[in-house]
Amino acid sequence: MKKQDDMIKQLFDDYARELTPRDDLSSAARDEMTAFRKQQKPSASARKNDGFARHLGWIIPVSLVVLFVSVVSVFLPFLMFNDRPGSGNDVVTTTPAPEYYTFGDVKGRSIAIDDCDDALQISRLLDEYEIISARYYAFYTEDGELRYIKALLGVRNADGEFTEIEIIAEVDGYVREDLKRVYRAYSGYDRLVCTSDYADDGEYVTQAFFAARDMHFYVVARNGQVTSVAKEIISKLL
Amino acid sequence: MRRQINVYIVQISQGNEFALDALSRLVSARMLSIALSVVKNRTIAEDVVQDSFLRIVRSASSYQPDTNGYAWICKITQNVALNALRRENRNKTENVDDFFHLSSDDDVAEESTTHLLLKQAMSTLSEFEKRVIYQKYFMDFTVRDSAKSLGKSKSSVQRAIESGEQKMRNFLKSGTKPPQ
Repeated sequence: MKKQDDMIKQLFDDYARELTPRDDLSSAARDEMTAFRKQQKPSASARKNDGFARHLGWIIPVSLVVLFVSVVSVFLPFLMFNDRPGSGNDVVTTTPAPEYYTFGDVKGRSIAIDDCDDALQISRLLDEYEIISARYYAFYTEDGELRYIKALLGVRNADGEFTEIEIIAEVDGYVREDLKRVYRAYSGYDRLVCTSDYADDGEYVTQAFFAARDMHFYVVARNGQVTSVAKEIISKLL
Repeated sequence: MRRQINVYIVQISQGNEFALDALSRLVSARMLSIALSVVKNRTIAEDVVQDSFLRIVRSASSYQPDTNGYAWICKITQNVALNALRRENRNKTENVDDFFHLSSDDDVAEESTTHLLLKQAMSTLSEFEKRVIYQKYFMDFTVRDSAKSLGKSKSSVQRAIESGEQKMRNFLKSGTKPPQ
């Protein structure tokens, strides 16, 4: 291939830069990787970490989950543009038979949580932790009905320990198809459930599910030092 | 970006889920644009990208680290999209006429100046030129890659690229569309 023309290349590069990333489009692959990894036995090195580091580590994700719940409660009234079936603008409680939907039924858009920092306690978190990244997306149907909010959070503490957290806060009454297995298994609980907790090559992964404030939450936390965060989260929430 | 993509693919082959997230941030929008250029339907295109990521995860162990990982991903996406198109029993002719409309992200309320300029520049090209220029500049395809994917000879692809580049240069320098 002959050298690319600079002017044309620049035009295509500018075009590519303007496209908005769609992280949600790799979720099926991620689920497959997670399922594969869950089949692996935790490594011996991973089980060695305990004690102080473990307790220090879970403070970060716990705080962020509290933050995210606060965020959802603040934003939910504004994000729900339309009535949900049979509910008026009232909040619907979890039903035994939720309505399922797929990725193709919703479209995502970034939402700017930072604009409302007074209610979000971000400044408190920033005092202790460096927030490497915090991205929030809201997903709506074509009719403008909110289905879920997704948060991707990356934080680092003073020791440089990095924790990555992914949270999906889904409106009660609706369940994304690829999440229904977890939902069906755990939605009957009125408290937080640690659905899995495993380690692989020194990295701990905790998955959790809980319901709060008319939404249900799927949480995945990954940390190099912490084995379980989910069991502690409920005490901070209620 | 290209070098980082290669690293992520290798890390994915080792089971690193962070690498998948990072890769997704880098290329998901481009993959969606490629898928849209083939299937012309956003819902189907999003499914194509999901399936493409699955294929990337499953094939990462066979990826050669010293090759262009981005082009490798683009080829996978294009192939998955073509398969989806056949399944949908739609028009099998590839056409990039309207991919700029379709690939405008939902977050973008209006077409940007860049989108419009690129769209206008591409409108000066023949259908074949559009495809090979798009493959060269957006998908990092070599002449060989394009010839193979389009079922054409390398020399015809090369000629179309040179012709297309000349037309686009003329347009970008003068801002006017040349006579057909």
